[in-house]
Parts: sequence; structure tokens; C-alpha cells
Amino acid sequence: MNAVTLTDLQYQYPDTKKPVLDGINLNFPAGKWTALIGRNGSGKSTMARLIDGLLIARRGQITVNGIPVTEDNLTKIHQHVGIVFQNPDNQFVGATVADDVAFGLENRQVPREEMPSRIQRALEAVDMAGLSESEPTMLSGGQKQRVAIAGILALRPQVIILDEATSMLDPAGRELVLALLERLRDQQQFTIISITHDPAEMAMADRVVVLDQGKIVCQGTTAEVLRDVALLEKIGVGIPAGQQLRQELADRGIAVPDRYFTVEEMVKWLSQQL
Amino acid sequence: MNKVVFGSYVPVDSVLHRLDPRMKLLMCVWYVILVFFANSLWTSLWLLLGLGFAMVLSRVSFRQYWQGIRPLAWVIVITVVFQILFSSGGRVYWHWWIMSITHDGLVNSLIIFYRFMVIITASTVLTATTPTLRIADGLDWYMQPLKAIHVPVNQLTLMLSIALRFIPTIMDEAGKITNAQRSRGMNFHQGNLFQRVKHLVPVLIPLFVNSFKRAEDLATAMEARGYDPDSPRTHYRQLHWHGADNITLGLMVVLTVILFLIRGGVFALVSL
Repeated sequence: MNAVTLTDLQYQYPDTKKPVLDGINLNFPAGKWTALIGRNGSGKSTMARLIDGLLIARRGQITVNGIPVTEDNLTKIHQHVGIVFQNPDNQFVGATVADDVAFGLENRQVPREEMPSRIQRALEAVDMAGLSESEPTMLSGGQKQRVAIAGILALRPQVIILDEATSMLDPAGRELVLALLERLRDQQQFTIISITHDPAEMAMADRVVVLDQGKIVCQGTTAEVLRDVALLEKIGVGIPAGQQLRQELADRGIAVPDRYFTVEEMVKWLSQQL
Repeated sequence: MNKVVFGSYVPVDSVLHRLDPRMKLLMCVWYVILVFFANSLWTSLWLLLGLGFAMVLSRVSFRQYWQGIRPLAWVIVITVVFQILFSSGGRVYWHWWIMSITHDGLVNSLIIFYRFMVIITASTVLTATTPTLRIADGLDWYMQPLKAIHVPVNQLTLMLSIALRFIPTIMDEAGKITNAQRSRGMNFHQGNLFQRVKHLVPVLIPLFVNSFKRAEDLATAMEARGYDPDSPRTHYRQLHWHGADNITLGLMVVLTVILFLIRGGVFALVSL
């Protein structure tokens, strides 16, 4: 089952010479976490905006749970897809945490009586229930991003897109957000698409898609894609710690098995060798 | 936390804090109108008493109110001085060139001083006991009838609340840009007034550019969360009119009735 399918997709921004995405055919399997990687300008964020109908492609087709993304279906598409953007401050609409989570519900005309329980549950899911009356200036970046995720969870979407949502956070904030994503993945109710430069975040995904200059250069399970260190280096994305260590050992002439290593696997292999 | 800037909220729990923002808005506007009906010492004292009662009920200390009003003290002093020196009528006590101190001038300046102080204090009572966003909610309610003449009330109040929400964020950013320019050797405290104003340009330009960028990001995020300015929306924040609001309304009526009784000379014996 695919939650999102892109067929022969092409998109070109007005007043540019080259399309930013060209000939994209891609499926995002339902209930899986897919990491979308590639250097800046490779078309990752454009793809996220196209999936949510914030931009409309002239050529090609996108479907979300079988619904084609067109101007007429935008309301439905926004219901199925939630996006968390990069800058925690620029997506906080409400005056308090609860108001911000309520914003999406208000737009969807959810009856007032239903709101408190839905807001409460969404905030509990991201561990922010205790701060529901706090103002954004009192929150850290990581807390604001978790509120943004709560705002999306309250709307019960099928697809959650994170557009470099952890890139402006400090390490502690990032870790909390990533732990939250793992929890959501384990519930298997959501299809997660995370656009990222963070090697740790790619390593956590089920699948990885590599974009370069508007085309898909590689896709597959995380182990398959991240195994190819040469490719990762060529397109200029970060290399996960386990793989980097494997590469350094191999470069020094140590015989390391040619497969994908997570940090834990690397630690296990090393302790076996000692 | 005990420093109050004019118009800022003081988060304590009081009867006045718990009142419906609509009642407090009504009360403030009503009071300001009443101030212009005070025409004698006794009527003025009566209104002052009413204000004092509200200030005590708010559980915000007089010292905090004074700190809130102090920045405006210069404006009041200058207005009063002008009033004393440049108005004419009645007995002349002192005269020089175009300036004179007259009996009427003194009386007028006293009235202006009183009105200024009382009106500013009354609005400070409103803002000290009501968060700005609740005031916006109250305004939203009062503006609803304007929908009949196609005023986009909901969009206007959403705009207002987003503007209020971003004030601290943008102030923060202004601070960062100022520091960034300072680290490049800019001295904001040097030169005459004209030069100082010119020094603000390298702060304002990035601030504006970033604000537009923010606005665009925010618009995209709002659209992604299903915001459509033309569609009806439900409201999470509800205003609740309680018994205390009815009592306050009653008290305002009593305040008004007694004011007009004093004016009409019913308490002639007292007003001697």
C-alpha cells in the first residue's frame, strides 16, 4: 500500500531556466518512515510542498491515499497531510500552546466541545501537556517543534512531512523530536516523510530516497542506500556515524565486512574483534 | 517581574482579572466618557473613588501602577504647563510677553491634569488585568455587528492577534541584528540625532527583509494547516459572562447615577 505516489512529476519555478524536479516516479509506502536526502536546492522541499498541494505541478500526477492532488481537492489533501517546517517560530500561530494546536481544528470547523480533549491528547503524545497555557516566547525551539507536531497530530493526518524540522534545534531538542518520531513510527498509523541533512535522522528511517539535481539517484531500504558511502560523499550529504567508522577502518586496511553498519552494530562488531 | 511598562499585563489573581474582557472593555470606555461629565470637585472626587476601588480590587499595587504611568508623566507635565501659561481669562496673576498665568488657566490646567491622570490610570487598570489577546477577543465580539456591512471582522482580529504574538519575536530579532552590527564596529550611541537615526538603517533593513520572510513562512504554514480566510472557522477560546460581570455592570450603573445626582445638585448639602 502506498500512501503517496508521484508519477512522472515535473516542477519548474517561474522565472527559472531548469525544472527543480524532473521525471520523478516515487512511492511512499504507508506506515513507513522515509528519509528524503540531498544537498540544498536538490528539490526536496519543493517535493514536500507539491505533496501537500502548496504548489501545484503542471506535469505529472501526485496522489495521496488515492486522491489526486489538484486545486479542487486541496481541503481534503490538507486533511491527509501535515507538514512541520524548519523554523519553529515561523509556524507558531497561536498566542499559547493550546491556541496553536487549536488553530488547525478551528480551520477544520471542529466543534468547540471536541477541542479540549483533542488538544489534550495531542499535547500528551508530544509530552507538552503541562505547558498548554505557555506563550511561545517561553518555549525552546525543540518545544515549539513538538507543539507544531501536536498541532498536526490533533488533525489526525495519514502523512506527516518534516521539512528539516530538527535542523534549527539544539542536540537535546533534536533528540527529543527524533524520539517522538520513532514512537509515532512504532504506532504505524502514520506515513512519515522526513527531509533531512542529519545522518542520525536518516539512519532512523525505514527507507531512504536520495535526490540530486531534481532527479532520484538512489532509493531503497536504509541499509541498502546508506551502505554506499561513496555515493553519499559524492552528493554531499552527511554519513551516519557507524558507516563513517566502517569506512575509516577500511581505509586503514582493516578487513571490515562490506555491509551496512549502524552505530550499535559497529560497536558489536568491534567488541567481537577485540 | 514587578516592573510594569505602560499597558503590560500583571499576572496576579483578582476579581478584576477574572472578569469577562468584554465587561472590562465596556467599563473602561464607559468610565472615560463619565470623566468628561465630571464638572465639580465632588463629582471628580466621586469618580476618583470609583477608580481607586477598581485599583484596590485588581490587587496590583499602586507603586506598580505609578511605574506604568511614569513614562507618560512628561507628556502630562508639558501639557499642563502649556495650559497654565497660554490660556487666558479671569484674574491675571503674572504676565510676560505672550505668557500669562490666569485664574481660568489654572483651573483649566487642573481639570486637564485630572482627566489625563484618571483616563491613563483607568486604561492601565484594563491592560494590567487583561492579557492583550483577551482584549482582542473582546474587541472581536464588539465588532461582530460590523459583519453586516461586510467588514472582515474575523480576518482583522486574527491579524491583530498574530501581530501581538510576533511582537516579542521581532523585538528579539531586532536585538540580535543590533548586536551583529555592533560586533562589526557600529556605535549606536555616537553622533548627533541625525547620525543616530541614520545608524538605525542597517538594523531596520534586515529586520524588514526577515519579517517578510517570516510572513511568507507563516502564510505557508497556515495554509498547510487548512486556513482559508473565506471559510467559516470555529473558535477555541470562548468568552464567559459570569455573575461577577453582572454585578460590575450594576456597579457601573450606580456609579453613573450617583455622578449625575451630584451634578444635578441633589446632594446640595454635601456639595456645600
